[in-house]
Amino acid sequence: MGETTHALVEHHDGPHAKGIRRWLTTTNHKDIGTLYLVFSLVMFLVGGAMALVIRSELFQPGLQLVDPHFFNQMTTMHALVMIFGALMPAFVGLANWQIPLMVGAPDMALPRMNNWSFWILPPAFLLLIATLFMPGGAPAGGWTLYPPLVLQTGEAFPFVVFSLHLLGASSILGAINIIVTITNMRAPGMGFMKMPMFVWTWLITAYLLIGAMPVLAGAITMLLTDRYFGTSFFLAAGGGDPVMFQHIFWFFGHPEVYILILPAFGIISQIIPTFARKPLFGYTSMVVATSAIAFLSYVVWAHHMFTTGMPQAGMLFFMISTMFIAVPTGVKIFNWLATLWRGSISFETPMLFAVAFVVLFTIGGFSGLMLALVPADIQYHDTYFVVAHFHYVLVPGAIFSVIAAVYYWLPKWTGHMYNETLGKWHFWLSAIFVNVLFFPQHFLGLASMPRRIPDYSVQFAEFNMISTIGAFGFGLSQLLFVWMLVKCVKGGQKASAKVWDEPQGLEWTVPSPAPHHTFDTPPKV
Amino acid sequence: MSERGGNRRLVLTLGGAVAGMFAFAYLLAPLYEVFCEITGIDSARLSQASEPVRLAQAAEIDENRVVKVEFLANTPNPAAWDFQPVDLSVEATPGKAAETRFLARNLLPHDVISVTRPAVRPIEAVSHVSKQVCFCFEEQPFAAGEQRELPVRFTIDPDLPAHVDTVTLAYTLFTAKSG
Repeated sequence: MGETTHALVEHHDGPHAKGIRRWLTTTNHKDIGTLYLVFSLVMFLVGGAMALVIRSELFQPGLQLVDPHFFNQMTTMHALVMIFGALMPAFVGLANWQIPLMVGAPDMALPRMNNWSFWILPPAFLLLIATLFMPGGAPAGGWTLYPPLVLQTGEAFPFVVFSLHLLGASSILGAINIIVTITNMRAPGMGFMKMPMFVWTWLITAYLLIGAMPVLAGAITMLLTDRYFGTSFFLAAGGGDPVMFQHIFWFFGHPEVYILILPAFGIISQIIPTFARKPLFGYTSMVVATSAIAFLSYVVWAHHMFTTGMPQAGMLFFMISTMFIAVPTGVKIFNWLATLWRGSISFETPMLFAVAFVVLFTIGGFSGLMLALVPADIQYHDTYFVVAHFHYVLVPGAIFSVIAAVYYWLPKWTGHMYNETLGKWHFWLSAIFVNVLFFPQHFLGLASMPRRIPDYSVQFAEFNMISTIGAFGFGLSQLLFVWMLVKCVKGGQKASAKVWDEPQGLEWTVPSPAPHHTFDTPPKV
Repeated sequence: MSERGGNRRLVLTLGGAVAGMFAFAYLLAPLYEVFCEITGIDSARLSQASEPVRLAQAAEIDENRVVKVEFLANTPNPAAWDFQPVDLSVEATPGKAAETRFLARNLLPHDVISVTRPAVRPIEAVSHVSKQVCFCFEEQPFAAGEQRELPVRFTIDPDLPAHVDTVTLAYTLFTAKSG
């Protein structure tokens, strides 16, 4: 009894362990959010370094720096690290920090599980990165892991599969935690239709994770048994069908795409109203649009497979359902524009990134619409046009939203303002170089330069050179971001509780930096 | 306490959903076959001997309609197999049986058993091709260095959609057992 009281008192006074043990054993949502975000930043730099290896090799035609097998390992690992290491943990980190603050809960619903879902990640990535040093090298058949090619991976193969199992488990635990928190721990008076958009988009994303990640786990388990235990799910020689893997993979893979973008929509829906000084236009339609996108994401998967051979009715169905997604997405874009309309807009760094998101994500959305057309897709399939498309939605789309969110909430987390001048520098450098990097890839793709190939014909030389210059410019600009983050954590101008000019939401009612424990008594909404 | 109970119920439900989706991934394998069977794009039936889908009445055969049938032979292991069609294409009249041969040679110095998987394109032709004789119906043993002609007899159904004027029969030869 005495011990319990003692532990409770200590718990309320602050972290009860110091140094590394504090971080290993923490169950505090803010600590875990920080861990996720730092991990994601490290992975972003690792994945970025891999991208620079790819772009360096492509600076000129011919084979210069790395051998083709290593180049293929880089394209595969870059994707896996960025998707599962940088973007997903970044969004989960933001969810951990912000969801309890935004719904007025003292912590996540399942703090012990929260600790586990983070600490599964580092060992999983050690496994994944270690494959680079194994005989036969890391997986090199693309992040989509298509058999039979992926089954030719060397000794690294089971490690890749186990690593993805762990990453999936981590995401699923995180998703369960988020759903339970949002469902059961909202402050009294906060009905579902009063939740901030970031919370709404994460609730829907968490359901997508629960629906999609186990399917990936199933698909890669089938790959594992095909290789080691004599099953023939995907082996044609044994009566299986490799095309079936593509169906199962993309049944996971397309919802995954929206897992990577729905939280971004939520972030933008928080930031634009703050800096336009107007409430979000069309809140209800935002909620409905997000749900519609989530639903549609489960019925469009085969648009990734138009060239594998499909009956005409199938192509028509997947083409039309894919184009339908443009409707709810358009609703969102127009809602953001309507929020800006006649607002008293100011352009602090988070707002700059948010506005750039709206413009550049829309470019990625339009090229996606082009790819949805079967005849066009058959032409563009596996070219740099596809690379340009998904990088536009993922880099100036998802990554810009994460950067915007970090600038927006950083003063709340650290208690200090970041350096606004450097923030603007970071924005302009990033926004210019990201277009130098990815825009020429549209032209390369339309001229049919294939993706995932380390060499190319000489007519592609100029655009590749421009793209590589953009890549280094964009990559190096992010070091400025890292330096500013460190500076902001260490010190700087004190931030007020509200930080911005009359922002809406419960997170701005607690002091900056947010104390270790907030909302021990639920706030009134 | 009631909130904790609510949490437990929700966690169990969500955990159940996760387990269900994992099982669903496995369920997709048989569902895939059923789907292909229903829609008539099931290539499994191309591995079995079958009579023509609908026995054409002599009067129904349009002697003037000619469908070009092309042949493809693939192997993922060209170091172990030489595998070629004897005819690159034949002209077939729908409703009448047509014949061709493939040539396979075991390049290895030991006995090998082969297995071949067939495919038909375009996909709407799959349900309009039937095979009466094919080496793809069963495994084929080859002695070391043996070369053999492998016959195929097939019939194109007269119901083949009129706009299809070329049909491709593709075969992929795998090593089933290496002795």
